[in-house]
Amino acid sequence: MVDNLKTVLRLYRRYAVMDLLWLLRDTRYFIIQILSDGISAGCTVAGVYLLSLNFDHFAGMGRNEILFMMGYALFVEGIFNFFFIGNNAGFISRVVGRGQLDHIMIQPVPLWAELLTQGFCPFSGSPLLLMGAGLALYGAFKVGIVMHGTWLLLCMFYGICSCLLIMAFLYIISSMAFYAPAAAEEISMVGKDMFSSLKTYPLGNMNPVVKRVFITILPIGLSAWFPSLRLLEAGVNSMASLKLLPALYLPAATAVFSLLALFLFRKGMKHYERYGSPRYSGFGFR
Amino acid sequence: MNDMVLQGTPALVLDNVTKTYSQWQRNGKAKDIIKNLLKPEKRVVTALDKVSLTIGQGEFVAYAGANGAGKSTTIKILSGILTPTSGQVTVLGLSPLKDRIALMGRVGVLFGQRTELWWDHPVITSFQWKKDVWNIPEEVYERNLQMATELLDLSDILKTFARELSLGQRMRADIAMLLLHGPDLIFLDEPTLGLDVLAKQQMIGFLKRLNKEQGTTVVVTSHDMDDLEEMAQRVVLLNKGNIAFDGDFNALRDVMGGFYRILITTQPEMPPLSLLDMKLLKSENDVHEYEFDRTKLPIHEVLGNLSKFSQIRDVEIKKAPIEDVVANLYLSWKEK
Amino acid sequence: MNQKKNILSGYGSLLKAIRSTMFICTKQIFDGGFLFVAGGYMIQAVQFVMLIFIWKSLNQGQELLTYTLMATILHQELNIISPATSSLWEGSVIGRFLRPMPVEASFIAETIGKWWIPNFLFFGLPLWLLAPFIGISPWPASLQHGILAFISLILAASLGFAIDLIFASFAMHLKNGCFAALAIREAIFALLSGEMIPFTLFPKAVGTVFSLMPLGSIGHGPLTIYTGLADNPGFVLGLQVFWNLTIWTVAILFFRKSKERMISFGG
Repeated sequence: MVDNLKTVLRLYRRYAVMDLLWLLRDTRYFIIQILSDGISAGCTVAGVYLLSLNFDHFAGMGRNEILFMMGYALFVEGIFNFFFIGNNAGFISRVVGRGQLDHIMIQPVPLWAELLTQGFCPFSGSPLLLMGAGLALYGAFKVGIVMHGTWLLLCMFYGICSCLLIMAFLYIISSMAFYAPAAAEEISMVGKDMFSSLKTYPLGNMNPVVKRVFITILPIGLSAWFPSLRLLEAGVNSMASLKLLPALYLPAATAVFSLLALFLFRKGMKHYERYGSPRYSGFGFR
Repeated sequence: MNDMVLQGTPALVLDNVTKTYSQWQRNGKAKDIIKNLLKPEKRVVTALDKVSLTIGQGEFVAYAGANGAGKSTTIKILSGILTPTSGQVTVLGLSPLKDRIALMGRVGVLFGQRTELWWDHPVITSFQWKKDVWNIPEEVYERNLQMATELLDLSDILKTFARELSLGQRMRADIAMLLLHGPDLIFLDEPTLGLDVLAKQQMIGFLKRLNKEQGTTVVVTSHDMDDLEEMAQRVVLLNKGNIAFDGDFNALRDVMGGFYRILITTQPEMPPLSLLDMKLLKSENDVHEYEFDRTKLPIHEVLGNLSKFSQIRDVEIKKAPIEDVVANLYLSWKEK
Repeated sequence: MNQKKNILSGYGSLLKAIRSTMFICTKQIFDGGFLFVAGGYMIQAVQFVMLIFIWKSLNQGQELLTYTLMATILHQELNIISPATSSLWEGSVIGRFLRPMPVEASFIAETIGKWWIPNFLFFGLPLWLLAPFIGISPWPASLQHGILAFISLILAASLGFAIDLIFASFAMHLKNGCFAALAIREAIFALLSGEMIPFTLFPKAVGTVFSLMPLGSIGHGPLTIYTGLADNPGFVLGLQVFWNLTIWTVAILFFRKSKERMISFGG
């Protein structure tokens, strides 16, 4: 256990150094990336925000509350970029589908440690995190939330849960790439796009049955809308006003999805060890 | 790290290893669309069929076979990437599947058509990455880096981006990276593929030196039999998942009849000589090439026969090229 | 050998080449089992359901539901991503230059074969047939609107290919940063084409400006004609023709300028 922890820290340090070196060396690309992140974030926010300008209390949320939710959504996206954007770590179906797991298998570290750390980009992956955090704080300020330590910790904890939930979902659908590598190579990208484009929609006035679907088996609502409501509730009223079950729902759902992802990915790995990958493409490897 | 391997432990043992795959079959007809979607036709392919093989420490073994013979599958099984359908595998006394992490610290694997280098970083950054992931002690890393840099002539490319290297340079850098942790056993899958003559010679020279001086066990696959003959002492030939030959290269020639070639240069414009038990292969510019089986026609008899012809200006006897021997072998397997 | 050089393609037939390229791309998709096509369609279906129920909660009329239904069915035609950009990443672009057909035609044939046909058969058509059962009218506002929308769709797809070529050329100049071109393009398309959020739901001034822009002619144009939301279909079609002429001119110039660079980079 201690050895594994040391390995993970050693890998995180190495990937952080490599990210910094890349940033300093290929600064032009870094600037292009910031630009691309900024435009993407702007467009994502703009669509729903424009809706909120046209409809008072769009889907049960005020304009500033929507602004906070947009900020939270970008913050979650930022955490994803910070930890998982490098080397297709977040888009694991590409690694599996292209037969590139072999490269990881010949390293003397546990597979999970390499998958966990190889996407770490604390420098080049941070712009969206900062943008999201900034917008969320601005939104919270406009709503009138007094931001104290506990609330900020809860905000961070929910953010991490939402990000892990997205990762777990991507791993679940990416497990298909073990069985149909060419077809499912891009499935994680498609799944991520689904979260990116839909998580900014508030689900307040939606049909209750459909709403339940979006906070259970298709957890898009858990990646921004649901935790934002809890945070707004805790911020506007008080932490004590949070009901226990709704407050624990996101972490519990994250745990369930993570376990399912673990189960399916391990099953897929067994298949991979048995049949290997019928294809190999060096494209995108590192 | 060499001291970690127990004396007398074989470098690797394959015991009755079988590996089967299933392959989807398609006839390419549009009318079978629904069938393909719902119940695709599958075919079982046996990549390895009850293969048993032991390689001792310090050996340099060529692992050869026609396309699809099962070479890469074997290397993947030995690296713990694939599980065998049945049979036992031990590498350096470890089970590749159960002890993959420990094993990877002691072996090196290179798939010649792939690279482990980081594309958007200079070569040295990839090496530093390897040092961390393999947890190589500083002094071991420095020693091996210095050795690899000298022997593989890397000093000029250490600061070059991997994406800007030529194929030969990339291969040298990949081999260097492979050796940084001082592996006891290395698997090289097609390491000379696409290299020019000089780069190939350098690579072969380096691998031989590594095997001789460091005692590293090397298992190498290639389609280039001449390269393999130059490198390895032992050749294992695979055919349709079975070991069809295991021995040295001379013994391999003997399997195909111990064929030799003789080149006879005659006076200008002379027709080829009619020689008993010798097959004329070609005639060009008064040089006539024959093939003979030295197990049936000993060399002294050949020389005795030739001494009767006064029109001979020059004679050269050589072994049949190993490429031809193996090609004939593949052909005979195919015909069977 | 006795074939005569014709005006379309030199030796052989361009149409035959396009048809063959299209079908080999389609067959490739169908040759891989149901998983080959299922994942992407599931995600599209989720997006469709979510948007439909959000619009329903806004009570803005049946047309909006038909709008999103058709936007989902025609997603591949309204948001064209040909292999142009990805072939640059992979370096496979050079193969297209070795075929006896225009590179642009290769990209178009591959897009139709790989995306349009499977999407229509396995997702678009079933969804269209299913729509009445979930309370959404799949029909155009009238026969005339349907015909005009079809013409508008052709113009939109044509414009989509032109913009795709521009992005591919743009990606070419970004070299290793070409991933950014794709991300920017996705984000801009989602907002400015009107495919995801109909412009009628935006504040009026914003919606009007968006509808006049080139991307508005791709999504908003044909969808508003189909649903009868367009005040003046003739104006929408005219605008599409204008943007087609302008953007194709720019695309061809830009792409040709980038070609040489593209081959050396791709190869």
